[in-house]
Amino acid sequence: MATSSRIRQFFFPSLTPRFLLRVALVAIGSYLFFGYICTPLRIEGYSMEPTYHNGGINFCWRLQYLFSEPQRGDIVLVRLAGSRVMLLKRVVALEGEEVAFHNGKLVVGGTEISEPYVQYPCDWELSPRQVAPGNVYVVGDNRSEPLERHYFGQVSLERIVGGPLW
Amino acid sequence: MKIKYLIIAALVLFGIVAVRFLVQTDEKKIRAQFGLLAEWISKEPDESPVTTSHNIQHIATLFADPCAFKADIISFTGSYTPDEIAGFVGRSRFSMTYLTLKFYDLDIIFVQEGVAQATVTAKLTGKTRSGDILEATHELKTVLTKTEGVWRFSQVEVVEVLKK
Repeated sequence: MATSSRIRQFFFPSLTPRFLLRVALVAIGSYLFFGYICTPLRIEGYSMEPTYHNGGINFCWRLQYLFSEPQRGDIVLVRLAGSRVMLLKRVVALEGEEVAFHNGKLVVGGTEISEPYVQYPCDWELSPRQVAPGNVYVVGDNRSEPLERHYFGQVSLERIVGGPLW
Repeated sequence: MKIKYLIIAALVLFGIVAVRFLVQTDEKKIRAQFGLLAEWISKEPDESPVTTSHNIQHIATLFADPCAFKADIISFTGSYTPDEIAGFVGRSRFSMTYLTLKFYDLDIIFVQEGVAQATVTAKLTGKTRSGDILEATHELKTVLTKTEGVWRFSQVEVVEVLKK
């Protein structure tokens, strides 16, 4: 009898002021957490294949760069006019570094960088250019499409919102 | 007694919501212009010629004469008349089997009387007649001016978020 009452109380709780307060706190906490700290996102597009697939679900962890700055190899989310639509890219060069692509290989500061996450064939040729102060250079992992059609380049650190949770 | 107060509170709340919903502010009018732009640029796979003609003709009404464009990625930089813009949109739509334009994160600032600056993320998806998939997402910085009570686009700039 007591168990049945407890189950009923769990699924159909009495609307006491204490219960309503608890519901309000959970709602406000969830809104703040999922709205400003760990925002859910759906991946659309193929620019980060095979690391992230089209249609995948993830979260943007906005505290990732609260006390640090993005490093080479990090995957970051770049905001546009707001954060409802963001770009998912990988940081390949930091401010002040010279970045280029030769025979599809990433070259930073004259040194070829190994990128095990790039699994599709790439034949990009991009002349050396320097990353401006306060910027990082971001590229997608899927470089199988022509250089002209892939959206990449240097972006202000202020536009980096965070990183994917996994 | 308690029910009486609850009814009064509900009525007041309903009144506030109704007034907010019904009053046509300039911000709502600008949001509506973006809505129309998205609707008229988008193209259904089985769009009838009547709808195509209607959309192309009406797109011109959204732009000031002239409207300054800065869109290096599609080689469309310069000042254009509304008819030239409608012609460009018409040619672009013709090369697509379907096209969807959606706007996100619209932020409007009124810089002075009759002039508003709006930033927005535009997401364009579609398929060309040759079968290529089009997917483009860009930040737009626009200026709208109010003439004869209507907000029209007078400047459109595609912001270069990633600079190669």
